[in-house]
Amino acid sequence: MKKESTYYIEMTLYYIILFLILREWLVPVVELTSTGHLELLLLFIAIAFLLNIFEVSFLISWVIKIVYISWFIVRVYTDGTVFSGAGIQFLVTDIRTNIALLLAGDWEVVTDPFRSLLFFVLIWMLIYLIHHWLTVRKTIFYFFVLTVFFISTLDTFTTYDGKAAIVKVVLLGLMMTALLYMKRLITQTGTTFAFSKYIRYILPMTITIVVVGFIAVLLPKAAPQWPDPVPYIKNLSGKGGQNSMSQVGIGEDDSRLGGSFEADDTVVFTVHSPDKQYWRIETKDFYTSKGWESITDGINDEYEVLQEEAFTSILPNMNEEAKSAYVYPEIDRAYVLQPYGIMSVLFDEPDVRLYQERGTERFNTKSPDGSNRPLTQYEVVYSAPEYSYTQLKTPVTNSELMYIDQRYLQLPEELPDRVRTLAADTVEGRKTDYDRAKAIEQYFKRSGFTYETDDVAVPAEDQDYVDQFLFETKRGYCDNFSTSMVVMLRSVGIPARWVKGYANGTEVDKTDEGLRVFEVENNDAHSWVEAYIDGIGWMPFEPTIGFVNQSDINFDMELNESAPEELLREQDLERQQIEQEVKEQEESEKQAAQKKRSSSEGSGSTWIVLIIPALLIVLAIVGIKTRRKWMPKVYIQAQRRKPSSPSTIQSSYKVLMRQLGFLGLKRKPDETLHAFAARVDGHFGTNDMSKVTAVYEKTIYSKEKGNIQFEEIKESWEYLINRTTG
Amino acid sequence: MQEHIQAVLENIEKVMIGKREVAELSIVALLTGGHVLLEDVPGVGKTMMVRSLAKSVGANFKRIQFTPDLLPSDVVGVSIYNPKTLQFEFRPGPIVGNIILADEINRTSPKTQAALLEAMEEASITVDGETLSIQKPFFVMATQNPIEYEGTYPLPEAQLDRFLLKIRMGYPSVQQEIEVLRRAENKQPIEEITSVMTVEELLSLQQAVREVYIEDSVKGYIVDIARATREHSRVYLGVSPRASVALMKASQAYAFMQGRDFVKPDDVKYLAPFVFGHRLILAPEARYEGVMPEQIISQVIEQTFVPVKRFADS
Repeated sequence: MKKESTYYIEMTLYYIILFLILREWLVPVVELTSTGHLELLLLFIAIAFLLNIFEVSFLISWVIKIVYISWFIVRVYTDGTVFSGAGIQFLVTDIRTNIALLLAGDWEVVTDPFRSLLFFVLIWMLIYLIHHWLTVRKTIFYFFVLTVFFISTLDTFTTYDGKAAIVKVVLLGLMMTALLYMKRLITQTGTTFAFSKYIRYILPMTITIVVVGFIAVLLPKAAPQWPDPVPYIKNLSGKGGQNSMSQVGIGEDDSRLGGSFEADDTVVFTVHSPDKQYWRIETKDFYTSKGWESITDGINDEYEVLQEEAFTSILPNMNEEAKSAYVYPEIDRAYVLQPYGIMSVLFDEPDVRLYQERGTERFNTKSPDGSNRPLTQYEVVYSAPEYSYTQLKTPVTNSELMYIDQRYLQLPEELPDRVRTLAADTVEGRKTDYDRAKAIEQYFKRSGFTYETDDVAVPAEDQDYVDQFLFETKRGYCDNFSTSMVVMLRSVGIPARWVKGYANGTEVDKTDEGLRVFEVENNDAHSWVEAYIDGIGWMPFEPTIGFVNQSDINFDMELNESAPEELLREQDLERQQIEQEVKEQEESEKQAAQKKRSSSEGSGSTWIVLIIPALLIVLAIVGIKTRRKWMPKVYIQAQRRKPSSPSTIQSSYKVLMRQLGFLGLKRKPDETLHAFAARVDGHFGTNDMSKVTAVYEKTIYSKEKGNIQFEEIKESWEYLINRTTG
Repeated sequence: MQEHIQAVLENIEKVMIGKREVAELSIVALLTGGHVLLEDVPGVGKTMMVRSLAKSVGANFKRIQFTPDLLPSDVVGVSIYNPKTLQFEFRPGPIVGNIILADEINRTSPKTQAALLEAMEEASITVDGETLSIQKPFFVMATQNPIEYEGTYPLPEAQLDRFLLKIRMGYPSVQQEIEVLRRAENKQPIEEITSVMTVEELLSLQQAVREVYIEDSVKGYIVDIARATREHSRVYLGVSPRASVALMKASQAYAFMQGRDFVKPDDVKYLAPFVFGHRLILAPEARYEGVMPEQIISQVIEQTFVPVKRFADS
């Protein structure tokens, strides 16, 4: 059977497209498994496709493929002894041992050459399948869908970035689908196409796909509904930590920060507290350049503590009387909210034990058998630390830093130098650790950063989370700010750690005892910074724009008579600034509360602006879709008003034909009107169409067309029109 | 005027069972002034058909039975020496009449066939240099056995063209055949039918048929079909313009019979196989494959668009 040259051109075109699609399978596999030798694998596919195009006989094609695979394995795994006796012997022994391993069930230990062999077989099978789809089924749709699914899965669950791949695959796949659809049409209808004509059909199709693809790439895209489904799925399956944590709020896994932050106003706790304050849960110390982990080995073990001895490295203020806050969890949580300066965690449940994690300072409540055991309510006793301004502003003489664990100074090796440079520049000229920390904290408020929860960037594989935020995006939420500050602090030698917890929440009420009632939502989940100020201890800082958490600073400079004028002025300035910040914060909270209350009305008007055009569009679509239902009624009304004339008959007959067309009753080109009418009448079981048609025929075939009255057929016509709408 | 036609049809139906279509087509030819070729095996009622038609019209009916030894003079007539007047006198043959049944014309020699066909074409006969025109109406209904039969002289194409329609009779259905037997028990009904139309009336009907209106778009439809037969790959020779004219005239008559004063494409579509069927010469290989010309014509019609607009509008 001799094939025309156009056949080969056509098949070559198909296989080129398929090759490009298949390439997108291999690239991630090679990248993720570090298999290597992508070119050689692609060459194998190319050879297999060529053999398919020219329909080389089975035997020859098998021999070629097997030879190629052998050549590949020998070349890659031995020292280039291609097809020497040694090479073949290597192959044979390798296959023999591995088959023995497989038969013994030792799947894990098969050797790399054998794995490669299996991989080749897999590709071979895939190619065969593609060949079958292409030549027999003439549809590649399954393969197309499979590819898209494969790449998106890899993109989601692995580090592979399939953004470009997916665009390529969709464009190529659409192209292929369209080409094959055309091919199917050609075979079905039995038409033959000259090559030039073929091109004329392909060209507009290609242009359309490319233009659509181009526009699609350029269009702005909505942020993903799920920031990243992996932690979510883990949560669902119960792996992510105790209870079901939402994608917002406090999650266990902070090793990959970034991405959007979805609002969730579920109330997590209600707290009755004398003070408005931040609630600490845990600290993390190990920065991975993508997020936070805690050094688990050895340090992160737990030990049981007494209810009255729940201390953290934030020591209580012994000069003040201890206060009590009462926590009422709304959602079961097995950890304890810590106010700054915590001393005791008091609860009545006798069989619950209190544990503290050494590395993170987190308090967990557990049953005697070691399982997590959330408390229904508990009292925390605390006394918030107070920091002396004088002390903060005095350079230390006896450094305590040697006692601080080195893990609080850890930084990844690959941290870009510009982060260190920036930190050094920021703190330049500051005399005390406090001043330096404050300088970094203030840096974020001055340098064009914006607070943003939507569409926050995720660092790419070779990108540092902090570096990306500081130098490229400059937009983000608490995690971005706090992580950056910790990294900057560490890079200038100040020990620092990353703190997770909740911000103060919304004050909703007052209890009879005069305690303030705060509702803490998942939205209030927060992260901030604690820095070790030499000579003073751990002190919280709040770099995030729009959040205020002022440590209690005792502005005691006046007491120090020797204090220089300059420092006093500075103190005033800082005090004012703090007051200002607190005021602003309160102001904005008030506004937020107001906004929340009026949001239902406020958003109404903007919605209407969107809804009206949307409604109009929907109406128009519905109108067009149902036009055969309502248009005839319009026609009938219009017809009644028109004067009766042959042209009226012609136009009304046309309307009738169109209506019948909606029912699939279409006149074939070789069908006479009479025959068509008989068919229609057969369909409806009437003779009205023949009546109408007889009159219509008169208007087009007879000599005089002037004296025909529409009235003769009006009844039949209206009847038929109504029938077509039913 | 249509009632006369109805009466003729009824008359024929009294004699012929289940042959309304053949009767209608015969009347179409009669009204058009054309001739009919009935082709079928013997004994299906071809002769009876013609006789009942002739009797209904009340016209002069003549019958010529063609045999291989029939001479042209047996058809057109012969001059005989009259001893009394001492002159040759012309004795007209059976062809001079109104309705002529030419039975089994393909059984006679081509020379005799030619004589008949010339008379049909010219509506006149020429004997010894003298031309005698035949009075109207002049309607020949010829029958022939299928050409595959032995002892036949197939009519040449040019002569087939003289016939307006070629009709096949076909066998009756079971019911119809039983009815045929039942009637055969009694007296032949042909004896009972009487004339329901005079020759004058027939002539005026012929005139009326010529006045039936045919829209230009419908004429275009006829031409389209005719042209398509000429371009068809399995046709050696397509139909002539004369055939197109014949189809138009036949369509007028058919429309008239339907009580219309205008021609519809339906008329054309219906008549095309009867008018064109015997005028096509199929390509040899098509003939060997046993393709009938009527099949080709149905194909052609299927591929021709029906006009649904006035010519001026399109």
